[in-house]
Amino acid sequence: MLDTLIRIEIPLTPAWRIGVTRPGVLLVGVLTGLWLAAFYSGNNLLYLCGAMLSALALTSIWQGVRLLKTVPPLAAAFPSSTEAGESYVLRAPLQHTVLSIGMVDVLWSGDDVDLPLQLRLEQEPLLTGRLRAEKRSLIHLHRQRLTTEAPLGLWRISRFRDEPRAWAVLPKAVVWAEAYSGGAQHTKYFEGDELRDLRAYVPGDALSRIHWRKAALEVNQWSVKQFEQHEHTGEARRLRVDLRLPQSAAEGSFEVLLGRAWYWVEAHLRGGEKRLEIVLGQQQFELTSVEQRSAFFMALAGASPQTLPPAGQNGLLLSLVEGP
Amino acid sequence: MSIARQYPARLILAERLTLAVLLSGVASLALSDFVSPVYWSMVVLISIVRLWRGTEFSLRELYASLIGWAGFLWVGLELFMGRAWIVAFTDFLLILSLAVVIEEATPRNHLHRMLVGFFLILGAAVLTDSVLYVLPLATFMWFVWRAAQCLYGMQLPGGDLPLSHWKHDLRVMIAMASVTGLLFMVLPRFDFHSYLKPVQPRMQTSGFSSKVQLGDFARNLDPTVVMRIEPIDGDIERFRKSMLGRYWRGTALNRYTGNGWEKSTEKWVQQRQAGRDVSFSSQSDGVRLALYREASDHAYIFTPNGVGKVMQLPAAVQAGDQGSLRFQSPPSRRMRILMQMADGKSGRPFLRPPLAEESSLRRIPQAVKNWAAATIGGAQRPSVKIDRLLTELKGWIYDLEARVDANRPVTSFMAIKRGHCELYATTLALAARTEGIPARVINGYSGGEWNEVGGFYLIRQQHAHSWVEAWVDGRWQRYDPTPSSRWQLSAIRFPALDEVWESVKLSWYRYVLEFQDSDRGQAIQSLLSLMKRYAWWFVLVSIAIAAVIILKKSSFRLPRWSWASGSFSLIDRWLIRRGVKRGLSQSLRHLPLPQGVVEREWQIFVLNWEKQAYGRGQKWSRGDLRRHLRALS
Repeated sequence: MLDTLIRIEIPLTPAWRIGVTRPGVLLVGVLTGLWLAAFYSGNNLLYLCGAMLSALALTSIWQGVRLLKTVPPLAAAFPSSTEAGESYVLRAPLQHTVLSIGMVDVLWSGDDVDLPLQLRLEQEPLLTGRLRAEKRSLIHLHRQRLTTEAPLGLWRISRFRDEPRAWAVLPKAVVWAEAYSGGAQHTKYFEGDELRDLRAYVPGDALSRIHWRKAALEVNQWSVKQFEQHEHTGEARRLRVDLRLPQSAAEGSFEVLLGRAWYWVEAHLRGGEKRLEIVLGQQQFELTSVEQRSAFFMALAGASPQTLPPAGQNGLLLSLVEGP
Repeated sequence: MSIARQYPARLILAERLTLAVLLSGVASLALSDFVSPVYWSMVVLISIVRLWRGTEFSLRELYASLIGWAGFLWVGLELFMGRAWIVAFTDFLLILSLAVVIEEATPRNHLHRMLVGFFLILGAAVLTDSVLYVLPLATFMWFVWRAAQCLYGMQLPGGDLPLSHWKHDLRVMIAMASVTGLLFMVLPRFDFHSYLKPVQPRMQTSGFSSKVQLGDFARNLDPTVVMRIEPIDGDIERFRKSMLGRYWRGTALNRYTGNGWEKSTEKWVQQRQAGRDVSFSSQSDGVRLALYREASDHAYIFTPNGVGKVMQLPAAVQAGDQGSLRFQSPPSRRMRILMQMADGKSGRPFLRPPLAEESSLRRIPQAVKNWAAATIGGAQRPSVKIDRLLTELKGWIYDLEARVDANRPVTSFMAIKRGHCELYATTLALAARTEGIPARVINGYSGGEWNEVGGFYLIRQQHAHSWVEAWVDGRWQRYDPTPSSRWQLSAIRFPALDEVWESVKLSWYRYVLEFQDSDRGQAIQSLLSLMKRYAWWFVLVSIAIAAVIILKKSSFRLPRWSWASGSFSLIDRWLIRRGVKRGLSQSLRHLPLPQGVVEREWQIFVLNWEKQAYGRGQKWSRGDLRRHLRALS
């Protein structure tokens, strides 16, 4: 019975709904009894008590509504991309002045996805949640349901609002080495004289580049040294990804292809590459630009097999198609 | 007692807040005279210990519930012994409070405390009508808000939420109080039954029973309020003058017993149900009044001389042929009685001609007979006889402390010629009878205090009075033999404060306890008339508020008062005295050297002045500035 009552939601307007919590059910019961006693008796002090408790209930609704109205846009705090199969712990502070303190449950709905988040409104508002998608996809989130029980935990007030946000679920990175992958023009065994980073060993890496001192400590996981030159040549690194999928391609090979492309981008971005370009099918992205990088994430997350070869020339080619 | 446990700070805060909720309820119930102080003081005491010792002073929920069950059995026993059910119920609530105060600090305990606190507040709504009730009600509202907020913010993902700042909550409280007032006024009154009406202890009075001993009544200067009388509408000054010196008639006593009076059986000539009127006269002088009668152990309604009509009776009443008007049973709560005054010429109807016992000479002391004969002399007309007796009695001394023999009070009074109003009235009534004039003693109230703050009359127990009605010229006429010095006595220590306090109490009765549907219409009408009267002010204030809001939202900033510019006026006056006139916005360093000032010192002064005025250092006060200028001179 109580659970049924708690599940009831009364629409106030198309964008607002209200329901009661367990303590709220108690309050409604008490208020009902109190008003019945007041109407029955005409006792003005009971009227005063009833008016006071009703005012408390109404004010808590008003405060809850006010809190939900002041919830800032959340898109800016939402990550532009996550990796498929990986859990992303969202913990993003919001630059927002808080008028009321409370906890807001956010349910951000999109294409077949309901993403639960929590917004903690206090001195430093914080958006938290756990993001995880199993498959690469471009998810369009658009409608938010903001629900709060603040400030007294008596009412569950919900507000619906539209805030579009694309969530790029990137493919799982597939580790590979440029040298192993086919020796493109820019691939060099000796990239520079400055140790830049370590990466995991993949078959085909030159033995001279294995970090043997580290390998002595971690027998099961070898690392490969990556170098860079002090002075960059000024030439952009480029990867061209051929999105054509041959009939004979094995299942999942397209995802592996995209995973490799993502790995290439990630590795070079982490390496602090000054100029980085990628051609994804017919689209070209200058990855050192933030906007272009975001656009690339979206394109990668939403990529599907195409019939045309990759645009442009030069650069490392990543393709499932044999021959030219 | 349970083993001491570590409680999180937030739980301890919640524990204190819920305890405050409960104590607000206890405080409200403690206002009722029906509640034994033993019970509520026990709860307060245990609460203090709990606050002092913290949560380690607690009982497990099971043991605490045993206290509740013991209270239940105890109350059953109380009922069995004949205690009033409402009192037994409040006793039970207070024992339950004791149990939840001492109960272990758990989320369920918080709920228990808030619920019991709520029931205590509701119990108090029935058992008290004190204006002070508003205080625990306000604290209850405040602490319920804070406690609920505290409990809501506990154990959330990511840790407890902090409580909002009390200033923020204060604004919420103001909003809540406004909504409370609005709902209270707007919601309709139904009044299906009166079981849950607030009750008050019946005031114990003497003088209105069927048998009264001389000395029972009007002997003490008791400041307890008996009734408050305010005008319903019209001119307050006219009302004040109209009601000045009225006699508020209660009961007629017509059988002298030797040391007191008895009331003969009264024939009820009119009976009226609640909501009806009792009409004494068809004439009206336009003065209408509302009388707030405190609950008393008698059923009489005091009506002033010249009353024309008693309107919209709050309960069934009956009117007797001796002029009494009373409820069928003494009401246990305050009642609002509406009256309309007659034009002053009309007499009181229903008064039958004298009975034989109103002329009876039984038990009249010989001293009275002798005194009456001597005082009246050869007068023949009854009115002259009475006037002579009155004149003589008014020359005696009014004395509440006079030592009068209780067995033969009238003889004793005549011997010492000092006493209180009952003795004066009795002596006149008996003396009139010895001269063949039917007479009786009337007990009621006279005079009263005019409250300037609230614009109403207040009648206290110290205004209790006895006077005489004598059958003269074919009708009952009122005679008051008591010397006028009686009205100079009062037991009020701080009259100014008392006026304000009584005014607050009447407002509480008028606008809260006795608020009715009809008052809502009046309130709206008053509001409309107020708006009409001050329409221009409303418009101007609205424009001003709108302007302030617009300015606030725009980037415009009002020029701030500058300390430096404020101090320049002082320096300018000083400079003028030394022959230098500073131009507008001219800085001190560009001024010529003032007369009689050493150049080096002037430069240092200017430097220091600029440093403190425009730098980050502490600003000079005007006193500092004066001191520096004096040093230059």
